[in-house]
Amino acid sequence: MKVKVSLIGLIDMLRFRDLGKHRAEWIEAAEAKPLPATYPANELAKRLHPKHQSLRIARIERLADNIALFTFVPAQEGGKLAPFMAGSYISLTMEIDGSVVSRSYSLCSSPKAVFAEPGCYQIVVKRSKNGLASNYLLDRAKEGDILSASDPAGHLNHSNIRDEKHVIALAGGTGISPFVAMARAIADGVEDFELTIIYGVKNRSEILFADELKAIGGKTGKVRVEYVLSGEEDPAYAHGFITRDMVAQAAGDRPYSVFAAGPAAFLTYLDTELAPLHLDQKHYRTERTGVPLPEGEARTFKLTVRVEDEVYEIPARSDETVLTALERGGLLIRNKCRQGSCGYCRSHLISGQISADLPGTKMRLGDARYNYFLPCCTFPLSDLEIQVDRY
Amino acid sequence: METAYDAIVIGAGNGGLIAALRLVESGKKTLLVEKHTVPGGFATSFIRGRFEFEASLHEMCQLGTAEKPGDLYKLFEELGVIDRLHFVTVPEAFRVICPKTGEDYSMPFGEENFIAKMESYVPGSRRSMTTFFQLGTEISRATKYLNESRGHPDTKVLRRDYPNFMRVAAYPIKTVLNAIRMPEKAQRILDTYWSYLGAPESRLGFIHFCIMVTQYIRLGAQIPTDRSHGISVALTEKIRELGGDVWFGDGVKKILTEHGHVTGVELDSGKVVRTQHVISNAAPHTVYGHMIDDVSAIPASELKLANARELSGRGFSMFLGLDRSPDELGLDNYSYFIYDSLDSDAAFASMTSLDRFSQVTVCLNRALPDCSPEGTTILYFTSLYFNSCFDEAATPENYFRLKEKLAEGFIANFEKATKTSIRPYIEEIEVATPATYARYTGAPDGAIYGYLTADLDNMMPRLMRMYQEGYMPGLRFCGGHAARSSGYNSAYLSGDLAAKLTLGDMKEGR
Repeated sequence: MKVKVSLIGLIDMLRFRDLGKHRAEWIEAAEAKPLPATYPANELAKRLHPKHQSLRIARIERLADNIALFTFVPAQEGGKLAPFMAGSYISLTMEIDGSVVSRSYSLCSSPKAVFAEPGCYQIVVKRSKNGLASNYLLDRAKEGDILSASDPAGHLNHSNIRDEKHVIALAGGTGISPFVAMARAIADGVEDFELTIIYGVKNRSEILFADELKAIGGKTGKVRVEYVLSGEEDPAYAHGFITRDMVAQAAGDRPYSVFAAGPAAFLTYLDTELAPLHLDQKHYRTERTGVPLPEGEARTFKLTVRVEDEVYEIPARSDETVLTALERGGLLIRNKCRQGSCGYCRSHLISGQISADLPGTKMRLGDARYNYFLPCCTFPLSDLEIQVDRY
Repeated sequence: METAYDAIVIGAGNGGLIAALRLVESGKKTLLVEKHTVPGGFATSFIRGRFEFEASLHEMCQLGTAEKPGDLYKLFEELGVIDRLHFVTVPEAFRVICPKTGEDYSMPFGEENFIAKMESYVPGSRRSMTTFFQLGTEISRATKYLNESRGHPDTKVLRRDYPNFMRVAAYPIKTVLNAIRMPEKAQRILDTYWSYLGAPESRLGFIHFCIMVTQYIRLGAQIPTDRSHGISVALTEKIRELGGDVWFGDGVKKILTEHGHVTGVELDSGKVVRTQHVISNAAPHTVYGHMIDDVSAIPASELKLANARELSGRGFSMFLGLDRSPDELGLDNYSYFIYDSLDSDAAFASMTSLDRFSQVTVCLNRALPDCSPEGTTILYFTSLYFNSCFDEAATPENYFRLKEKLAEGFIANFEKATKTSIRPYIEEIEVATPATYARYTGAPDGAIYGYLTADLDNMMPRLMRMYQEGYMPGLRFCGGHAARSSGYNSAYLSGDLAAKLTLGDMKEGR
């Protein structure tokens, strides 16, 4: 076989021999100027997903007993907030009595408000019994305080490609937040779909944003809210829990997607209640707030934590997640959702036993094979040794 | 607190992982630092709903099997990890479609099968296709010889043993295929894999292309059962088992230098770690752009080289979890190359616009039937932008809508090309843009293929000049931006090369 590329084979040889020389000349001819420090896509990434955002509490408004609306603006004058899609959450980090604590909160503000001057985020905080963060925010945080937040995250967002044009949103308590953001996004023209919210609360006094949601409904014709009270009877409202009939009625005979947000017990209830509707997974998207705690008597184990070349020993209670133990011990690790879906707190189990069988959490195959786990939804069953990442 | 290591590897991408593993395996005290929380760089996976999506890998080149091992298989074996990695073979080479013209060809693996199928599509192509494969054999042997000669090949040996290699080595694909009189139509089909290297037939070195294609067709292609993340975790654990340290979530902010030589690194956390040797999986553009404070320490030749180069394609991907099986959807193939034109120069030129859609789509279940729950399908799409068109269009205000708009375009293009319907069955969708790649890997402008392998920056001239080109003492590069260019096999092998060069530096006190 002989391959002749140009007319004279020898020239091809020379070309090969000279390839290095030509490359050297090509390099030599270039300028030795400094390289760019950054690029447009990298700058966009920073804006969309900053590692931290420093937020100032601009306003705290009491919405009900033990419930308040927090409005945040960038801590720095002229600072920018990361944009988000309606339905997303942020994780707030606070220092409380020597512990570093972070919690995730769904944003209830309009995605458009990020681009106002100054941009803002809003969240609803409800007191939970013994809730370190909620008690701190409701009792001690004040306007002007600076908090650190993550970038917005989460997957309870409407996709025009994936989801139907009619969304039936099932909200339990403060689970209303992501749907308020969606309603506001529809009002602002950021989103374009029909939203029926079925909003289950205990008492009338806990109903949030009723006037605003009604006004958006009136203005856009795309947002409706139905209320269900479980804790009191009132002729103006349905009584009891959210039922499949309510969903079927809201749906009519048009295609619809169901979005549900609330605590684990609420979602477990819905799974059973809605089963006869035969919703496939495509049409049923959920977001759990928090992780159910194990029952029974608590024990305390020794948790050995490796971070880079440092080693710490802290106590870990069997009725608290490993993530909570880390925070209690002053060891903040990366985390966002705190319910086993974002994967940010992924850590390595070196030795010991954990319980990690929360429904709806899925590990990567490779992580499961090599003993990685998610501290945010894992409880210790023995002394543990773990390797965590630097925050 | 200051600690000291023989070597520090920046970035746990494919190159960094192998570099660190080779160093610890050679008895060196090694630290691998990665700013992200998972290893792998592009070689990772992520979960949405009930799907674990492969983030980047379409098919592994140069791997082969225990019976027919490729260079990559041998490397994994040498490093003691092959037993932990599980692969399956991809069923067919490719299907290539041009929706505009209706051209649609499916090609099999295996040299004989490939040549025969080509002959059925293009009668009279057999002779030139056979020559192409023969060239592949000679080129593989020649590059092996060049590697062994460490930059000082004997011209007499080259002329005697590898004359055809010498004749074609300086040319792009197009020139050589014309010279061996391959019919135009056969060239268009054969060129399909061009987008795996990210440069068109008039600019991509024939050598590089020919090695890749002949290896793919002869060895077949493999994918890991645990996604590429499974490989990345296995490599991480092996490094740790051998006594190496791997730190996640804390990137290298600065490379510290004294009198022009590396003396350590400073991490994002502020921690300073001393070393004389750094291997960077981060790109030269990134390192020289903002990681070295004393710019006088950067050799002018390095700056010139970086300035002379072009960034490769900026990545765009889409990941779909569908709630129907591949059979129900009529997805019969594993990889679909869908091009705006089967002329790679024209396709390359078209990938500078957000309104035209060239893509490679993989139906993972066709190689790995249980990669998703029964009755579902994983489909992922990759495309490239060869200029700043994405940067110019994307803003913080329109970002989410732009993603959706582009996704719609790629879905519609796929449906048109394959005459299937997938949109109604999308249960999960995720879109990655250049900003996504920039976010997770720090790649300059979200370019996923390193530097454009074109013209004088093709793999061959890079490797030929590797030993002569100046470098910064104590600093070596690996990964997609390094000499072997991008791609899984190249990146892994580049890590091995960088580690060996560093071991040489250590030995000779450089």
